[in-house]
Amino acid sequence: MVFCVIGLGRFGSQLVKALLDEGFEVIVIDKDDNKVNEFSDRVSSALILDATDEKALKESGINEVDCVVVSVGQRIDASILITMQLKEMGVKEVIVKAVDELHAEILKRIGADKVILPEKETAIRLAKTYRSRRFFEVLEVNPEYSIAEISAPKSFYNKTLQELKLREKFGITVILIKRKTPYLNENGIPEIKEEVIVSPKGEDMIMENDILIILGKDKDLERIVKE
Amino acid sequence: MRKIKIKKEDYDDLLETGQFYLLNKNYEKAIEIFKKVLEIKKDYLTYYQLGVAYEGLNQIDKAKEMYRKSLELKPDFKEANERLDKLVKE
Repeated sequence: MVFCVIGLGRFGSQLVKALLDEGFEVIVIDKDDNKVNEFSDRVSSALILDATDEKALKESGINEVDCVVVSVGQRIDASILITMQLKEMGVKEVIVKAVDELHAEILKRIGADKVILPEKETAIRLAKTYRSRRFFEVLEVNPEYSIAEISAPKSFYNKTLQELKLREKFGITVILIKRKTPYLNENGIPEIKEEVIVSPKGEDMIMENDILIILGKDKDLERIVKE
Repeated sequence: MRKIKIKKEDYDDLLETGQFYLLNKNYEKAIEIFKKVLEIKKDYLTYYQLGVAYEGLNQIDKAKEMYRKSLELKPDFKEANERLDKLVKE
């Protein structure tokens, strides 16, 4: 997976370091050559350009990247313009750092796939999330424990929680099971019914394609996605 | 990907088969068939159903893409608008 990080402020550079540590290929873009040079020997490509310049952005070949993270600091206008350009260019996943709730709302409306309001350690968290795409969302409870949203591993299918003994074997607790079931509506068009089982019991069964929200130590959560 | 042999290559039959697989949560097969249907004709309902199948597999980005394609062909398609809205908000 190839990432591109636009804007190498505090958040951006922290994220680049975390992504590199996780072993991802990273391209960095900033208009400040000092900031770009700082990473030039570690990243696969380091570009000095103003990302609000549509032509320059297009020529950088950024549309080939799997995921672009826009973290242009306090420049709300720039982040909106860059996000729009990236979506128009067909970038699959655009993640944008917002400065406040209103900014986040605008970004969502213009098509940002994910908007983050950074707090402490979010950059590192984000990089860790991507280590395994089976993790959809991770919420840190404390430095040791997290809550994660994962798709149920195949080996769990058609087994009850009692049979799986997740707490004993993995040290994790299933907080919630999300299940989507297609059905035909009154117009004969398939729709999806979403079922949520909150604090499931031992006899509850994990079905194919279920999403699980689980609580556990970071290392145990990682172990479970490798299942 | 494994090829599925379907006796009647007829468009409606294919669409119905795809929908059958979809409703039976056999999403991989449904996707395979809907893609085949799209090769014959690009239709808003097929894109939408392909989106539902991807959503069933939790491939949300692909699901969103298909709902958007469906809406390009039929912007007032209620079900696609609703699904897309939901996924964007998640």
